[in-house]
Parts: sequence; structure tokens; C-alpha cells
Amino acid sequence: MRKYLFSQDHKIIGLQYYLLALLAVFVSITFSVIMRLRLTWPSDVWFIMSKLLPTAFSQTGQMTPEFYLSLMTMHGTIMVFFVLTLAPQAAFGNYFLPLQIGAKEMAYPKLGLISFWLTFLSFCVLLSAFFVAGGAPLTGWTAYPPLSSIVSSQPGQARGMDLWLVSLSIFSLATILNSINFLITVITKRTTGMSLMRLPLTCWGWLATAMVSLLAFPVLLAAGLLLLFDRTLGTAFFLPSGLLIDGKVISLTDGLPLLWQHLFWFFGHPEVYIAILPAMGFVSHFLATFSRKPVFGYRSMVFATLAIALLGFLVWGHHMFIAGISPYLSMTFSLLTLTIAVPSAIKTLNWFGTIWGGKIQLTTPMLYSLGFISLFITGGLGGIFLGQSSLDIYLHDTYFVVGHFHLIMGSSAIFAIFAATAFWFPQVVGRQMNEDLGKIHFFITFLGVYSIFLPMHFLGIAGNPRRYAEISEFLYLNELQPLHKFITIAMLVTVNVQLLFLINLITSIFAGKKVKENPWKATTLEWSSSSPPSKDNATIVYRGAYDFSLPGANKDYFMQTEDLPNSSLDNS
Amino acid sequence: MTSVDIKEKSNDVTTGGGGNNNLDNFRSGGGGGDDSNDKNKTQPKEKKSSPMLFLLFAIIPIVMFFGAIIFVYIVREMGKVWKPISMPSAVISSTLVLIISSFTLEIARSALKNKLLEKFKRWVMISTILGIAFFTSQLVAWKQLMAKGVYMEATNPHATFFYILTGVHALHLLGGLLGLAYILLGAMYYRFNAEKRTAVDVATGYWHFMDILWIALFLLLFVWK
Repeated sequence: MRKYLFSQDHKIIGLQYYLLALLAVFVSITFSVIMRLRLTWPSDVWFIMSKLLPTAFSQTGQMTPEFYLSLMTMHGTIMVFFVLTLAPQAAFGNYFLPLQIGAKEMAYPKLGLISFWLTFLSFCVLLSAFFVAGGAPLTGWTAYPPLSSIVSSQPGQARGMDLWLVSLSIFSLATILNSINFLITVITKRTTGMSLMRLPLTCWGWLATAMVSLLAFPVLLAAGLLLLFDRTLGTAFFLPSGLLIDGKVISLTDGLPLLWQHLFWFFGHPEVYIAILPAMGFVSHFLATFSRKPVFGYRSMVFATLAIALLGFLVWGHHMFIAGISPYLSMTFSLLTLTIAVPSAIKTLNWFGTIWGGKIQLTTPMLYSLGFISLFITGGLGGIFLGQSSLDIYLHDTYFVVGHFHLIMGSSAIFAIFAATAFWFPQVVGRQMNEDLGKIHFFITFLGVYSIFLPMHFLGIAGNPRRYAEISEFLYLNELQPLHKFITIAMLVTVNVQLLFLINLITSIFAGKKVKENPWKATTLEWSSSSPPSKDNATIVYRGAYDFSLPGANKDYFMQTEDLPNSSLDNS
Repeated sequence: MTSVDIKEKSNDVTTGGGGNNNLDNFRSGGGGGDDSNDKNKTQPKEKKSSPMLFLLFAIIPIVMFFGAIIFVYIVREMGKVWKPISMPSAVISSTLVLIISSFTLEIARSALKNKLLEKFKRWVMISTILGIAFFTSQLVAWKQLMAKGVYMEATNPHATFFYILTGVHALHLLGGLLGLAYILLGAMYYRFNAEKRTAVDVATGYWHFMDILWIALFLLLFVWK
């Protein structure tokens, strides 16, 4: 119990986070499968589920549109918070950050323990929203008022919405604590010789993400509490005057629904980078390892990471172009948004520079990393359309946005998680994941993800709105139904292939190919023989994190712990 | 819970020994061309995790948290239904009490630095009592408002903000009070001395931060227009 469940060991905590994210991702994928089935075949009868959840289905067994929206809300919330926030940062970070900087443990092991269990609690609270009267909320993960602030607006907006807010408040608190732990660990726990410019780029990703989380999550916490007060204590921060509720006009409240959007997106946009910055770190790291080349432009990578983290706080308005903000404000946010393309492009070009002319080894982590780049670029190109306020007015509430963020935030981050899983699996288990299964999984998932999310861009251009539970009622959308069918079928295939990943993950624990230490011939500390550092043998770092194929060197790579007689090769 | 075979588990929680040298300046290659196989030539050097750093990183999210609410306050103040409430008189006394408590705590801290343990104990006790007095005074302020019929309601945002800002500030200050209680307990048993006073420094720092935050909130609520 002490050893596994309530352990203060950063590795156990990391694994716990990973398992929680894994559970969350499968729960959330199940929701999206149900949603797609409802969307594509709206009149189908759900025999079993209508028995289990009678309130969510009509008399004849069809799913209600409200339940579709509940599933959508929960899918978004779980994916954003419990998968994309947890897996790259909390799971891999807790496990590998201390190892990579040569520390025995995180700075505050107890804090890690508390963060995890708070997060777990918040997950349970979130899921419990399905089982209270009225069911889960249906505002989407953005919870815009006044829909979210009026208890009687929809069945799911009663206790379900309260639970949603409580869950996210607990989650925010846990993430803040975890971020404090990360920051102090990087600052104080680096081993001898591990200067900041010798940190692996993974650590830079975790560091930048911790900074962003520390600034962004308190704002979500504050906004969530205010919304909760609106709902429970009768305040009216976000409740406008003149609304007609239950036949009564409410007056003199004078709240501003737009305020919620400002607060929410001040958190919400950096949240996107919370998901993607560690992923970028992973990919930079893996590309260098499997191209046997140093990261191209290490310093510019670091500064691009920090620039993205900073700029992420200045662009929240681009989620609100259609919310009625001033056109001048729109223009400012539009320009700032397009500015983010600069550090993103620096990163992308550096990735190309890294693999250019390298001895590329197409292992599964490498394939996933390349997949990440592909999805990141494709998704990013959609972002250039959406970042312009004039185009966004047409595209904002359509499937174009759905396709865009699923590619750039969802899929690419998930690919980085796949890559990280395959890459670090041998370090954790001492065995390798099955490469053949991994490659099959990669290719089908890669094609699948494109087949699902690329057509959504066309749906959006054709004017298909988001969040509709069915489109058969609308004449102008009828001809899009075949494309929806295609997406759903592609999605079913892709989802089922994920079971392959799960099977690979589980069987490899017991039957994977046994490997010696450092099977990828990587340079960073977690692969060195003295990892984790023992009490009487401190790790000493002599070089930067990416010393591959140094000119004049007699071998392909140097671990960070290797000293060289010839100090002229030291590129730090 | 998990059957994953972990290479090595280290459950012992050590706070890291060794000195606090500035290790960033460490460079290889200098001097004597040692062989890389020469292990164990340096002692383990892990920097201590710094509680003052923790304080800093705790202050940042708290500032963001209050900043968000203050942003809402400022925007709402421009609205049509804003009716300024009159200041409950107890707010003045709580403000004074909190400012004084910061000074008494500082007296206690310098007493500890000068190894005057009895004086330290006395002034920590005074500060803690002042801290509790602040809470009481805030409660009185709430009562005074309620007696006037001013509640937390939608039609008067200023009152709403008064209750919410004082409420969340009190919650945060409660953490500071727990810190003071911990120090008081330590002072009773002479657990602190001039060298061993990190907890005192951190708790004092947090208390000052809460003090400054309250002054800012006070100015926002009743002075700033």
C-alpha cells in the first residue's frame, strides 16, 4: 500500500499518472465513438444503453441530443485535462525529469503524492456527474455562461455542472502543486555539471510547461469559483440582465458573460501549450537520438520554447472573434496569433535540420515523432486560417475548428505520447515494445487520424456547424452525410487499432524483447548505468544532451556522463 | 497496483546532503586530464530544496488567482448596477491589526536572529494573537454589513466582491496562521535558533505577502474609484 498506492517515489507517481491518463483516454474515446454513431445514424435504437441510462434515451430507444452534448462535454474535458495535461507533463515528467537531471527524487516528493491523489479525486468527481440527477453538463469543455451559470437552463446544468466545476477546481489545485514541484526540482536538483544549457530539451519542455501551468491554472480556478458562486450563492458575475428564465425576466444583475470567456481563454489558450510543449520536447529529443545527430539549433529551440510559452498568454482573444469583441481588439489578437507561427516555424525547421543528413533509424518512436511533425504542420496550417479574424467569423463554429484542434493539439500530442511510451518503455520495464506491432499501429493510426480530421476541414468550409447532434434536419447539410459516414468508419477503424497499442503495451511488459541498458544508444542520464543515482555515487555531467556523431570522435555518441580527454570536443 | 517491473526502487526520502555550492560553474576539461574512469572522485552534491523558493512559487499562483478576481472587479465596477457599500468600521481595525502583526512578527524574527529566544517566543505569540484578532475583526465586519441588510447578492456586486475577496483572503491567511501556530509551537519547545530558522523565514514571508495583499484589496474595495 505504502509502496505502490501512496508512494512518494517519483517513478510510482509517474506511472500512476500514466495509468490514469490511459484510463481517461479510453473512457473519452468511448464517448466519442458513441457520439459519432449518434451523429451518423441518428435514428438507430440503442438497446442496451437505453436500459442502463433510461433518461438519456427517448421512449423508442434513440439517444437524446442532450446526451450527445453531455458526451461531447465530457469527451473534451477528459481529453484536455486528464489526457493531454497529465500524460506528457505529469506522467512522463514525474518519472523522467529527476532521472534526466541526475536527481534522486523530485524536490518535494510528498507534493507529488498529494497532486496525484487530488487529480484522481477530481477525475472521480468529474465522472460522477453522469450519475446525478440531470446527468452531465452539456456546455462543452468551455462552459460558456449564461448556459452554464443558470441551473435550470437544461437538466445537465444542475448538479452535473456543479460537479464539473468542483472537479476542475481540484484539478487546478493539483496541477499548481505539481508545477511548483517541477520548477523547484529543475532549479535545485540538477546534478553536478548539469547547466541549464545542457538540459535535454524534454526537460525544457517540462520546465516551460510548469511555468505556464503556474500562471494559467490559478485563473481557471478563480473563474471556476466565481461561476460556482453564480450558480450556488446567487451572485451574478457572468449573468447578464434581461434574461428570461422560467418565465421570469431577471433584471439588475448586469453580469458579463464575456468576462468568463476572457478568463477562461486566458487559461485555455496556454492550456494548449501545456499539452504541446512537452510533446515538442519529446520529439526534439527522439529525432536527435534516431538521426544520430545533435539537435539542430539547441539554443534557438530553448528560446523558441520560452517564446511560445510567453506568446501563449497574449493570444487568448482569438477564441473570441465571434463573441462580439471590438474589431481593433480582434486585429491585435489576430496579429499576435500569427506571431506564434514564428517560434513554431523555428522549431519545425530545426526538426528538419536535425534529421537532415542524419543516419535515420525508423524505429517506432522515430515514426511517431515524424508523425507528430506531420500532424503539427497540417494542424498549424489550419491555424493560419483561423488566426485571421475575418476568416474565423465564418469558420469558428464549424467543423473546421474541430478538425484543426484535433490535429494540432489532440493527435499530435497523442503521437508524442506514443513516441515517449515506446522510447522509454525499455528504461522502465527492461524490455522493448514490439516493433512490428508498433509500426502497424503507427501506420494505421497515422492514416486514420488524417482520414478523420482532414475531411472535417471540408465539412467546416461547407458550413457544417459544430455541436449538432444530427444534421439530417438541415437540407443544405444533407449532401455532407456521406462524408460524415466516411469519418465515422475511419474513426471506428482507428479506435480499434488503439487496442493493438494497448495489447502491445501489456504483453511487452511480460514478453517483450529483453534489452540491455541504453538500447537506443541515447545520451541522456536516465540511460546511464548509474541511474537513478545512488547515495554515494553522484552523477557528473560533462557535456550537452545531444552529442551524436561528433566530428573527429571515435564513436557514434557520448553519454552526458562521459568525460573526454580532448576537451575541444565539448560543445557546451 | 501495477505489475511493472521497475528497475530499482528508492523509497527512502532523503533531503539530500552536501553543500550548497554553485555547481553551474562546473566545467570539465580544466586542469589535470583525468581519466573518465576515475569514479567517486567527488562527493554527492545535491542542492537542498529551498523553502524560500517554494514560497516564491506559491506567491505567483496566488497573485494570478487574486489578479483574475480583481480584473473581474474592475470590469464590473464600470457596470450600471454598481452601488458602493459603506465601509464597515471593523475593516479599519482589521487592517491596522494585520499591519501591526507584520511588524511584531519582524521583531520576533530579528530577536531569533540575535539569539534572544525568550523575546522571540513572546513576539511570535503576540503576532499569532494579532492574527486571530484579524480574523475576528473581519467576521465583525461581515456581521456589521449583514446587520445593515447587505448580503451577497446579484443586485449589488460591490457587496458580493466584499464578501468574496475577504473570504478567499481569509482562507489564504488561514494558511499563514497555521504557519504561525507551527512556529509558536516550535518556539515553545525551543526548536528554532539563529541558524535553524528557515520555517520562521518562510512563514514570516508568507505573512507579509498576505498583509500586502490585504492592503491592496482594502485599497481596491474602499479607496480606489
